[in-house]
Parts: sequence; C-alpha cells; structure tokens
Amino acid sequence: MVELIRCEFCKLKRRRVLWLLAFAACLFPVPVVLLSGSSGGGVEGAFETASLILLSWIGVPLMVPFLAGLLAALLFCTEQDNGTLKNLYTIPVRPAVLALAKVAVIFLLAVVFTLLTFLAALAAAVGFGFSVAGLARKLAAAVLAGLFYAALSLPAVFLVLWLRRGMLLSVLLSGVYAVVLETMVWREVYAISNGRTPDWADPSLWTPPVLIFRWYPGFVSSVADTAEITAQDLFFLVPTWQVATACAAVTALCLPLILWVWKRREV
Amino acid sequence: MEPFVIQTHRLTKQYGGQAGVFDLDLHVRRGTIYGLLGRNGAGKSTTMKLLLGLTPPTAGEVLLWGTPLRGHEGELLPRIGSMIEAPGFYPNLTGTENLQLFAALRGIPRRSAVQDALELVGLPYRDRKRFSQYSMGMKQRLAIALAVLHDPELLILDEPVNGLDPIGIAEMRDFIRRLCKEQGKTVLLSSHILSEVALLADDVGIIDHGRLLEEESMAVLEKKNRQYIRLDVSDAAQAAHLLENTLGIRDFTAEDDHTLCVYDLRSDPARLAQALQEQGIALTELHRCQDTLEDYFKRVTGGAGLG
Repeated sequence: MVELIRCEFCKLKRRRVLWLLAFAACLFPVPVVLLSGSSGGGVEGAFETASLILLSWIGVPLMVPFLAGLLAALLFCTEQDNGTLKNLYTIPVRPAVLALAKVAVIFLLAVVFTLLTFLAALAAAVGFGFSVAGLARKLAAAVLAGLFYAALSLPAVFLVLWLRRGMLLSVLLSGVYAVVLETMVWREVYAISNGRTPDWADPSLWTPPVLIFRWYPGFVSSVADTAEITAQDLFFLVPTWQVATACAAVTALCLPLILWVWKRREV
Repeated sequence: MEPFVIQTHRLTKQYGGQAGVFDLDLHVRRGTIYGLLGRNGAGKSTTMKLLLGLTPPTAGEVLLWGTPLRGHEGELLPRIGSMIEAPGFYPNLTGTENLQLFAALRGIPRRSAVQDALELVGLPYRDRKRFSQYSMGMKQRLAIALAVLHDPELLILDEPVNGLDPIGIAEMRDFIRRLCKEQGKTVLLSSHILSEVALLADDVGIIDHGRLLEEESMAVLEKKNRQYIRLDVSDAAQAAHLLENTLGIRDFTAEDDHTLCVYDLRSDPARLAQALQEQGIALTELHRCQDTLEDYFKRVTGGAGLG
C-alpha cells in the first residue's frame, strides 16, 4: 500500500495546476494576516484571527474540496482516459486497493495544503512583527482541519467519479460543492456576529462543516479554562471526538460509494 | 507438465444482448507462438481481456497452466506480460519514469530491469521525452518493453505490429520469434494481418463474429490448404469442355474466361499441355499452386476478406 501511494504521487509529477494551488496556499494568507492586524486584531490577535479565518472560515474550507475534486479528476478519471488501468490490473493491483491509495493521496495532500496555508500565515505574521502563541496547538489544529475537510470532500470525489464529465466540469462541480459547504458555515458566522443565541435544536449547527467551524476556535484557544463561559463560548466548545465522528461518518458513507463506482469501470 | 499454457472452456462474453465472444475453446501450447486471426471486431481483444481477467466472462472458464484464473489472479498474472489495445501510459511522465513506476508496483528486484527492457526495444534510457511526445512506433515499443519488463513466461500481445513501419515490423517479428525460440516463452498474439501471422505463428486460431471457427497448427494448415494446377488459356470454356469430355477431369473450376484451376492432382501437367495444344487452345501458363492463408481464411469465414 505504501508503494502504491508513493506511485500515486509519482503520477502527479509535472502537473502544473498543483504547483499553482500550492503557490496560492502560500500567497493567500499574506493579505489575510495583514488585514487581520490592521482591522482591530492588533499585533497580539492578528495571527489568531488570520488562522481562524484561513483554517475554519474561508481559505481551507473553500480550497480543500476544490483540491479534492481536482485530484479526483487527475488521479481517477485520467487512469481510464490514458488506458493505464489494464496495465495496473494485470500486475495485479486490485481495483479497491488502487482506489483507497488514491483517496489516501487526497487526504495527505489536503493536510499538506492546510499546513502550507498555516505556515505561510505564520511566516507572514512573524514577518509583519505580529506575536504568535500556542503554535503547537494551532499546528495540531491545522493537521486535523486538513483531515476533516478532506473527509468532507469525499462527496465531491464521488460525484466526480460517478458523473465522469472531464477535468473542467469536475473542477466546477467541486467548486460548487465547496461554495455549498461555505454557505452553511457563513450562515452561522452571520448569526453569531449578530449576537444571536445558538438554537441547539437547529440541525444545521450539527452538520460537519459547521461543527468544524465551531470546533476550531475552542481547540486552539483556552476558552474552557475561563471561569465564566457564555452561550457563545459554548457554541465554540465542540470536542474533537464529535467532529472526528461526524467526519468519519461522512467517510464511511462515501468511501463504499467511491469503491462501488470505481469497480464498475470497464477496462 | 501441463501441455497447454492457455486453455478455455466454452468461454463466453456477452455485452447486453450481443455476444462479444461465444463458446470459445482455445488451446495455446507451451513454448509456441499462437496467432489469433480475425477481422476488426471479431472478438480478438475481448478474448485477450478475458484471458487476463480484465473483464469477467458471462460463462465458461479460463485455465492458465492448468489452474483456473478466477481466484488465482495473484499467482498467475505475475507470470504474464501483456499489451492490450492502445499503449496505456501516463502522458506527463517519460518512458523511463513510466516503466519505473510499473516496475515498483510489480516489485521487480533487478535494478537494471527498466534499462534492459528499454534497450531490448530500442528506446533510450533516462531521456527527457515525455510519453505524450512519443510517436506511435515509440509508444508501441514502450508497451512491449512493459510486457517483458518482469521476464514473464507468457506474453499476450494484441496487434503488436500496429503502428510500426516496415522495418519496425520486421524487427518486432524477429523479437517475438527470439522470445519464443531462444527464451522458451509462450506467445499469444492477435492480428488482422495474415502475412504476419503466417510468418510467425506455430498455431493459428481463426475467430469471426466472436466464434473460434478453426484452430490448427501451421504445419497441418499448410497441408490442408488445397493444391491445384493453374492453367492460363486462350479459351477457358473450350478448355473446360476438353478437360471434362476428353480427359475425364471434373474436379476443376473456371476462375474467369482465361483461367482454370484443376484440383485433381492425379492429372499429369504434361498430358494437359499436350491435349490443349492438340485442340488448338493456346496455353500461356501452367503451374502448381497452393491456397494462401488468406484464401483459407476467406473459405473458413465465408467472407470477402479482412475488414
């Protein structure tokens, strides 16, 4: 399996679009950090605000599903287009194992992308003279966020495989999916910023993208250590296991579907 | 030791309502070259995909070295090298990188395997040319290199000379012959080019509309192919009358107004020539002939030739 995953990475050699995305991951955080510092975050809170925005609001939640859809097209769809499946299956490599290796690559690259975003924000914060604290926790949060959003991207991967509409439409599809997830998060951002008390019975609060959004600030800060916890604080106190369970459920639902579509492919 | 490397029992593949391959009983002997002959769309590629487990059969079974393929893919497929339809490689990687990738997945221990395979087919090692920039002939050669990379016992090659120039075809022919005769490999190749199969194959299978119509060794086929005496004359009708009424020969056909084919080989060519001359029928050519593989193919398939 390790060799298979290594070979999947080799298949992405010279794919310029991935380098462009990596470049975007490094570039995008710079203005976000700067704006965070100049719009009230201050020297102390700029990095905190920027990492919150990038890893749970806009950057990673929008880009990782997009990246996953692109990778699905590059890794899955091009195998059949290039006629390489017959060479792989006669080794033999079992279809399910091949599909799992590709999904593993999507997860790994999602984490790499998230880490790049985080490290770029960190470098920008240090460069602009903003203070950085709680790095270990934030780094762990970045890795976990990458894994969580990769899991949330699996429905887009399934749709790309199932519809098989070529590279451009696959990317558009995953972009639309990313916007749908983002809309769910922004609905809560808007509500919270208007001071609305969370309605715990509202099912939208318990959807995976909103759970991640709620989990991140609580994970990286020490809200739970304060003496008085407000309703808004409670909103952000989501245990990691709850988010992990929700994402595992999405994975458990989508992975068999991905394997089913993949195995049906005629060579 | 199992005499047949490949054996199929009533192998059938149906696509919807149409039969791709029907009731195939194939036998490929160890250490020989088997030529699967057929027109485009006859079922050659489908047969090869079934032999490699790339598509499940609707009915029947495939035996490789006496072992059923189904359930034993892990032990059987590593002993086979194959090239099915168009060469399949990653266009963004070079030829060397492509082979290295597949060598890694196959777990080939020999470090020089990729270089040796490329040298064998006349392709450069570690060049910068990506597969997408390869010519058709280079792509075909790379596919052959992949097939022999792990030194398999059995090679299944689908139209191996497709896209090659005449020199390339001759080189491929020699290469396949050497693999079989010098290295003892068994080769199953498919083609719609009769001359190539005739030059290479020890055994021939003729497939048409998904059915294996004939399976025979080349040696027996050559004996089976009809021999005849061809007469080019000034008046075929008059000559036919002479053959039947004067010489008592009835086993002949008139090809056109000036050509007769006499299948009764007891006929003495000298006596035929003399009889024609006595009747004033001019004889321009007389020689013994034999059906070619193409003639045999047309007879077996009942068709006009290859599509």
